[in-house]
Amino acid sequence: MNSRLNIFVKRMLDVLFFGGIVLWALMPVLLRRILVLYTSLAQHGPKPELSAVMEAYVPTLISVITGGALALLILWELRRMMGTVLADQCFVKENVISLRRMSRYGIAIAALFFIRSFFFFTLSGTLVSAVFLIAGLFSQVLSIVFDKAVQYKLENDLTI
Amino acid sequence: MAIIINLDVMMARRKIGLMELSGKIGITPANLSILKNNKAKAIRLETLDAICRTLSCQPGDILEFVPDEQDSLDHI
Repeated sequence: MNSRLNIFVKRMLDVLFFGGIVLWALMPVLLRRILVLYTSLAQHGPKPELSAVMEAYVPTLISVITGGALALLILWELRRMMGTVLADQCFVKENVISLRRMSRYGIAIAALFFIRSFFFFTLSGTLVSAVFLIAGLFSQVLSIVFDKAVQYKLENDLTI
Repeated sequence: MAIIINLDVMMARRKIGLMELSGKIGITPANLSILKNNKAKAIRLETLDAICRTLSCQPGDILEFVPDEQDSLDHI
């Protein structure tokens, strides 16, 4: 299944993954600079959300780094899955395990940002939490569906 | 599994090899090997038909039911 779309998605995931690693490694330096830049760009003083983040810089950094690491793990699993799609062997048990792992990572990110909202509330953090919770649950359901598909494929392969 | 495939016995009786039989019945040697080694989960009627036609035998000559140990214990 080496269609142009699949190759494009694989390349995109590669860029996101390796770019993500660089951004993740530079996050302690970048986060403060980005926050300072945004704050200085704001015409009428710092926006409420940014000032909340500035006040809790260390918890923000910890949540962003931890969430970033989990997001990178999701990208890693997605890249692996796309590799099997390109090799035309996508209905394999490894992909079921990958989907389960992605579900756990997604729910972990959701939990992380949910807990963070108790320390300081930001709308974006709540949205991230909701999006990753839904994505994690979908991924869990998809892993169950995929598991069934793998079983059916195995049965079909062993029907002579 | 309780169903045993005695394809290798029939092939030996008819003195036919795996490659020759697979060519005659129109399935790949790999798939015929799966069938011969009792690794198959199911067998299509058309495959059974082709095997019986080629080997001039009955389905019962190829398939055999052997009760599992658990089944035997249940009946006692």
